[in-house]
Amino acid sequence: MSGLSDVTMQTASAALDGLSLRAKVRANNIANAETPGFRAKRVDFEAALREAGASFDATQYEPGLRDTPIDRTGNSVDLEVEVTELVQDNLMFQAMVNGINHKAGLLRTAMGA
Amino acid sequence: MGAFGIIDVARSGVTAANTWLGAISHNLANANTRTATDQEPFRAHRVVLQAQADGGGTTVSGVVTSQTPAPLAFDPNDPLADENGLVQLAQVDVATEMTDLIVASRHYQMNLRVVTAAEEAYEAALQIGRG
Repeated sequence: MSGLSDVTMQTASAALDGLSLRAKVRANNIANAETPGFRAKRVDFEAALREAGASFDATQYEPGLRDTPIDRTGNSVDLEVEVTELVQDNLMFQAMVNGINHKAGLLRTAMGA
Repeated sequence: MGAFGIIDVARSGVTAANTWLGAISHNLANANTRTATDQEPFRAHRVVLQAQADGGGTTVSGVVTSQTPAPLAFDPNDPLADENGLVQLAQVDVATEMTDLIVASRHYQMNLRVVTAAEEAYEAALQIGRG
């Protein structure tokens, strides 16, 4: 494994892919918060990452259903859950970007740049 | 869907909420519209939201109107009144419209919130490699 693309970089990159997919699925959940019969979906890329090591293929991942209660119109979007997780995921995304940049800084130091 | 796809998904929610708000304001503006008893009364418009396939957000798939009979009022002085002095009132439930107004406004705000969050995340992604 080369020093420029080690397990840290690969995991961080896979996590960014997972967070991006989750953000898109969440945007769809919120857009359909008032759509009758719509079932909220979730992306658990952390579980996929744990199983597969440092890889996550966002193009192959199939989002599962959330287990939030279904209201009388058949809709299961829970806005409180979506918005609180939205804030958490955005912070996590920032943290991952900071991690990648920090790692890149270390590599630059090692290269004497 | 382009590179900034989350914004497109959220925009579909904003657009749907906007159409919904338009229908509500149309209904409320006509809440006191009267018609002659031999004419079609004003009926409240209801937007029908539908999820797009492929997780692309939501869309207004149509507008339906209630088919319950419009209430009648006795007002012989109204120029629209028939020989019995009756006019048709609008088929609009103001309480329903006002509660829908709250829900539609929140829906609009919530989807704009997603646009802001997506913008922050994309801004962060554009910083990769600048550290």
